[in-house]
Amino acid sequence: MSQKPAFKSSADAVTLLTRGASLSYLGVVLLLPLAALGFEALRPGPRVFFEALSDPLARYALGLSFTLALAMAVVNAVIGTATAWVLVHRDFPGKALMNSLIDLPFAVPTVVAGLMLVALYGPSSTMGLLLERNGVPLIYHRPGVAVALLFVTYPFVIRSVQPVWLELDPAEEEAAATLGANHWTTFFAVTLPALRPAVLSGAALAFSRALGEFGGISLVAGNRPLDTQTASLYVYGAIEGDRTQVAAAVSIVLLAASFAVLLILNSLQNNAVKLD
Amino acid sequence: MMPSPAESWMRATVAVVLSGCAQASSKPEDVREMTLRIAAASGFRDVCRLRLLPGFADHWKARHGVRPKFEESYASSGSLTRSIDSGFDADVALLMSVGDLDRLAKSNILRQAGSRSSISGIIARGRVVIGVRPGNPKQIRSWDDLARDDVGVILADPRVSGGSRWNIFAIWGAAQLRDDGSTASARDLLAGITRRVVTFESSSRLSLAAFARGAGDTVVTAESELHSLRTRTGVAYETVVPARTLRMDLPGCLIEVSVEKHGNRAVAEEFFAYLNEPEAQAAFQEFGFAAMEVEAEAPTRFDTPTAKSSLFTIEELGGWPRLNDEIFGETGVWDGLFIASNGRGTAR
Repeated sequence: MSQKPAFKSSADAVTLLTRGASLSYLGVVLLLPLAALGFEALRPGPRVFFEALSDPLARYALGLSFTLALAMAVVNAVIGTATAWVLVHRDFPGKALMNSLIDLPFAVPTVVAGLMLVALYGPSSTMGLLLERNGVPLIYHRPGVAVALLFVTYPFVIRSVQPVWLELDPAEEEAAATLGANHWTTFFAVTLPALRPAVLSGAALAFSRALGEFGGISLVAGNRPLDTQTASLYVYGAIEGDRTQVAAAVSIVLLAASFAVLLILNSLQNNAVKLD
Repeated sequence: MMPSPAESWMRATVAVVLSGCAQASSKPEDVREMTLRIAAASGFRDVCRLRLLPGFADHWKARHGVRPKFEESYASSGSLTRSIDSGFDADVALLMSVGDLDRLAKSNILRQAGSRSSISGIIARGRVVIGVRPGNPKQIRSWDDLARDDVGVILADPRVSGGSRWNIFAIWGAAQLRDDGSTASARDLLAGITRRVVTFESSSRLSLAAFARGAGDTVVTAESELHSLRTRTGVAYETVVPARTLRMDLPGCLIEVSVEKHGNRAVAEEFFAYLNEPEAQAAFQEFGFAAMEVEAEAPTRFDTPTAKSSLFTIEELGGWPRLNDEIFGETGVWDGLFIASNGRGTAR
């Protein structure tokens, strides 16, 4: 494309081009399919949309998914930050190996993760029998769904916190220590505020991932309506059962909620950055 | 009286073969270079690969001196139907439910331009049974046993897998026929059994896989599926045939739009006709299906030792569309079963 005199410099043109290109890309890859989904959900009119959402089975499934996703966000925020601390501050044999293992949930198809969990904790496994005898059966029960979600959301917080922590200036922590603060005070007053944006964005990713997760859940949940049927399983059933609009309506709620959570967490992050 | 599916099958075939002769195809047909694209429900996979396709290849070679090529795809009946409906290129479809056939029929892809009939019909039959572990440790004899507190049931989710609605219709019909058409009693039995469900798997195959992995004590499925599970695993899972159960009518069809496009009418029609020949029907039987000539009153050719069991048909229950609506329609009873039992069964 030849440069036109309207641009002050070639740098302006490049900026405009790259911005245009990335926005178009976002539009084609992400927004267009989302718009199609919204269209599908609302096409038959708002009445059908709300009817789909007033189905007790759909409501329960949405509630279960949100509860589990929130739990994943909280659990991962705590455990992920702790794991990142170990990786940043401690040296031990096998650390490099551990560091590589963390990303495995990204590499394994989540349905395989589900299969591994069934093999490990399923009704015919030793672990499964042991758990069942102690009254905490996992597979085909809600705790099993949580375990599957823990597996697939494991890397997010670690991977978003670890690099930030590595870049933190140890001088501030040392200063706090010099002033007499103990480890915990130092962590909560100095380190955590600096890490907060990273923890939040990791937790947000874990939340969204847990909310939409299907493959890992499909094998371990048992898919019982009003019991272990999550929103993603419900949507799958609706699609397969030719109730596309029901599927679209529930998906829209999942998307909107996910988007809201991401927006809130993003604004929290921005505030944190501004405070700096 | 309605013609039996077999009769309508024959009639449709004849009608279209006749009308097909007059019609010029878009491409020249050379039987030596014909490829047949088959889309079959997973339940037909074994019988297709091991018997029907090799058998038909021999049959075709004897007539035309060359073996036809096959392109096969296997998936659940419902997803195959959806794919074909949105343009998936298959000449012949073998499906698990009449509902799926109806859906294809509605979208006009089964008819030649200008023709009113299609080549479609029931290609094989089967029956719904209960699979139990070797030795039948829980002493399962009837549908009612599935509602017992000490029994865990594995089902394919009928919401997801259209083909597995046969299973639900079987339970429904058995209770209804036993109690003089009482819907309440059918509902009770179904509610009792769904409370005992350990897992609703998304396909018939997955329900058997879960059962084989040790989940539950029983699996409700087609006899042919259980046959296939025994062959695959080498475990002597037993077949329990309840006193009353449903005969499954499994449909197939020619996808006219594809056949037109590929110009392979000769091979597609002959394959479809071959399915009704004794050789193919014997193959179906060998894999746990029932041959077409088996009548509801005389299920003597089934291979299980279980004593007499009376088979009823989907027509006796009012036909697939009506039953489908009654149970899985917008005001159907299915979702209500869970709401009534407050979701949480005591299933393990």
